[in-house]
Amino acid sequence: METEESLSQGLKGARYLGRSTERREDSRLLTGRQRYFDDVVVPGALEAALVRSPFPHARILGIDASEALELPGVHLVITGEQLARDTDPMNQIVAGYEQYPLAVGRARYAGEPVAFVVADNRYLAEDAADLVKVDYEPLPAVLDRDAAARGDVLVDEGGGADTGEDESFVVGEAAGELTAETEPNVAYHEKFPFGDVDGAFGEADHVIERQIVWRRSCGVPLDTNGATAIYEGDGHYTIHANLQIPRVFNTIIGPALRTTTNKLHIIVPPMGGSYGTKMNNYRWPIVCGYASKLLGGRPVKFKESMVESLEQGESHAYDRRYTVRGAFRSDGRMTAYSVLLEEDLGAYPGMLGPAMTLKPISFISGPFDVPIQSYEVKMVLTNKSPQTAYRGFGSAPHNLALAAVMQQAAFDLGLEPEEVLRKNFIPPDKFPYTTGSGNQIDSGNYDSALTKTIQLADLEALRRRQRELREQGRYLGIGVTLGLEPSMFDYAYFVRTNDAVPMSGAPEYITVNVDSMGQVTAFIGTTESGQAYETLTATIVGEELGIDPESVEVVLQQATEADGPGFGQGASRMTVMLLGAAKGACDKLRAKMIKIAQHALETEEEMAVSDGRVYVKDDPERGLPFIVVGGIAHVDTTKLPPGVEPGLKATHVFDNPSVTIDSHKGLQANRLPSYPSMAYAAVMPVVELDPETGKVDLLDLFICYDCGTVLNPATVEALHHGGIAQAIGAVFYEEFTYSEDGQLLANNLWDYGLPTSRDLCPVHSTTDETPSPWMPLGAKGAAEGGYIATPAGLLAAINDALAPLGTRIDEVPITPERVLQAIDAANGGER
Amino acid sequence: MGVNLRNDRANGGSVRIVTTVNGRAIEYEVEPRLRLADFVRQELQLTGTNIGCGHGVCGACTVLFDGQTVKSCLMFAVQADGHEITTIEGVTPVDDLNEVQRALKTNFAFQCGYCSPGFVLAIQQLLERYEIPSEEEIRFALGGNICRCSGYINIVRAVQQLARERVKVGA
Repeated sequence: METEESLSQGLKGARYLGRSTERREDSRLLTGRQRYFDDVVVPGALEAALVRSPFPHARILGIDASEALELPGVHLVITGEQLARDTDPMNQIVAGYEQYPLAVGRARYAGEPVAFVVADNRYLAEDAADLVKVDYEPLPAVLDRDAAARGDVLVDEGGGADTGEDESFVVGEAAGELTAETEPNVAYHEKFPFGDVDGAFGEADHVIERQIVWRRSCGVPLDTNGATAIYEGDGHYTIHANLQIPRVFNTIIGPALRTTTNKLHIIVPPMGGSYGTKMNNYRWPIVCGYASKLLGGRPVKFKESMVESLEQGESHAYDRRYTVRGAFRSDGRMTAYSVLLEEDLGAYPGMLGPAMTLKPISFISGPFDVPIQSYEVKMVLTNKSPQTAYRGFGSAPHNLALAAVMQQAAFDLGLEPEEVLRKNFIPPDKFPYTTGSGNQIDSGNYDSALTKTIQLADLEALRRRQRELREQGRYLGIGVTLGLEPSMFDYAYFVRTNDAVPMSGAPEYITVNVDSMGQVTAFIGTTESGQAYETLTATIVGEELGIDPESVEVVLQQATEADGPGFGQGASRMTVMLLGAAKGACDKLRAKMIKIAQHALETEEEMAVSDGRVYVKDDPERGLPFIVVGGIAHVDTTKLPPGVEPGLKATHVFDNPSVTIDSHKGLQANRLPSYPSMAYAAVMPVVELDPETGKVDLLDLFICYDCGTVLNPATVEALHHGGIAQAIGAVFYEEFTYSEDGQLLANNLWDYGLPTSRDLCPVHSTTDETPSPWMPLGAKGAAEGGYIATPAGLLAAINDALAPLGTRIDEVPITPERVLQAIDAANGGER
Repeated sequence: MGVNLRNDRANGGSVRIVTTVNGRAIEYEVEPRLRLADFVRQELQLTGTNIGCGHGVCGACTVLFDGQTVKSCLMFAVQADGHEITTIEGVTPVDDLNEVQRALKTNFAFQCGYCSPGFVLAIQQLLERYEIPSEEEIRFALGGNICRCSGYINIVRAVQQLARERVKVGA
């Protein structure tokens, strides 16, 4: 247990925060009592299965469902054409594109849903799906960026290149005159130069250019997407769905179903993992809702099988090619950094993929003080699955590409990697620091975190060992990296690619209620997928009101019943936002309790609230317990002071602190990413590489993370562990491989390799604490850092091992085959 | 409630099975193709057993079959005829946690928890097989269960703690 001395500096005097309080959620989880989406029984629900396109690109000439409909127990078959007639398209974040939950007229990737079959149960629905006859005319497909650029095949015939030329939010410059003709299959293309980039490269002593490829992977939660919808008449729907952000994407579901958002009663059960991926589970609520309506209100349920989940679309993320350049002085100081990102979005822009390519504008040069920088992004469409969000929202590949350039500089200039990092780190006294794009960030002491990691790992001893082993023909590699974890996002840049509704901020609320028995319940506006919001919120509210957190109940509200505005979980920010909201709500509540107690005690003396009592500050014996104050407020209302409303409930909305920071207002007006709070992690993995087999053994991983004030150390540590494991997956095992003819080969968990307990190495972690001056209690985001920062370290370790072999790897995942190819390439094809 | 599983066009029939689930003998009519996982979840409403991949990789659907861990998505309900099935509900004390569950909780082993019932059963079996398991034995024995949140680190720590407690008790 943490002692008072070990508490964060921002938490001195805290009674409950800062301790590793056990998670109250765990008793439910470990006993099987947690009710996930698939456990929610809606009486009378029918179940659905999908008919999916076997072709990556095909015209749908006709769909004959007659045989399927003859099967006893089959109720309905819905086609894309029907949806296009009776529903409205799902929003696309890039202007000029359109998508329905089922393919309309043309299937644009293998596995795209073409028809939706509803039957008594899933078994019958699958039988019937087999009987649906679809007449396809296969079309040529494009499966990579370069083929897409040739323009022989257009993934979306109607869509056109958007160049970000709308003057209302241009900051950089449009990348020339681009149209659908000159840039086929490019959904969006924009260039953001900040400072005299060409000049800096012209004056550089040394220029490094690397091309880095990050192949498709994603969160792949074990609990796949699903929805059960009940049409309640007059445009009302009840929808159960494991949708991560129902208060955001109800704005897609409502209009698609041609009803209003206030008629959608969305209920989100706890989710079996999301990592961002369930943000886009809005297509199943739409189809299930439409089906229920056609069936007179009969509940309709659809839950993806894992194969459907991996194939049918929107469960993939980043598919990137980076061309990154660094301008260096001979002493290792970087003077300019430029990024060209070509993202393979898949067949539809969707809502999240494009925004994920823009987020890194908030930290183009990462922890390094290099304000001259540029960022160019090209979003390419191909005949592959569209994308969803994944932990870090596009940050992990960005950190990886940047780290590769820094490591190359160390190699080329004959420096140790830590020297290059230290020479370029933003110094602690330069915070708040304004990045090239104008994103002002709160705090950091990167050298301190790096030094702690170096000490923890005993880098000197590791290097000695590395030299010894090399003499024996063994290849040890040590990665030395530090990556940023941007947190506290606001919406503004989400709609950069679309001149739709302007957005900014991203507020959250808490409501705190004291009932007639004096018991406290907090209501928060988020879903959950493992972040322990109940435990954390109870601790925060307990701390604020001076009561035992165990006595505080927490209720998660969803869309329509939410007490306030908000986004909900996402972008490493919810707990920080809840801190701000809880303070406001508890201030309001305390004020009312004091007013009631003063009136009842007939005193005007100063009063305090703690330990479940409202009492006179200078005479604590005189006071009332919550049960009496609650009783007066709810049921004994004649004792209320004049003019005071009955009830004892307060809501406070806390907006993203960035909206009050002057330097961020420009970002919001210009629709550029604003991430004022930066957590970070120094990551130092140690690997041994076998040049004969290409196998890489991960021996140890050292990490020091700094996410400001820590509210529950064990929870934060556990979140980092999980992120590290996902990073190991992305770097070594996970890839949504497509065959040359456009079939997804890794469409199951045998072929898509999720790390198991045997794939993890010992993780040695320590922490540093540089509180944020802007965030409540100095806390920063914490849930994404392990995943965001680690891949860069792993690639660096492998390239350190490969250096004496005169080769390197520029892509992840790093399979033994790719290691051998790299070694062969260095040997001119000989081994 | 319950699903109409007798509507099998391939088979057109159902099979009577007698099985013991969590210590109680039951008799049921099931369609031959009904997966054991669906039988447990849908017919018996024992929803602690979760379905992840549905093809035998992730282990979220782990149950004990005559005391041995099996992936219930890869078995048919008819195979349970004459056998004993134990699910997470069967190893959980009333309104309390067993030794394994408690160690997992105090070690912050899980986050979303979807895989946790499967892990509890796998760990229980691991502790039956190895008196004092080494870290390598733990990692190997749990290799059939995927957890996407935890990185396994705290799960392994919890099992190591259980093993240490055994040493203490033995000493």
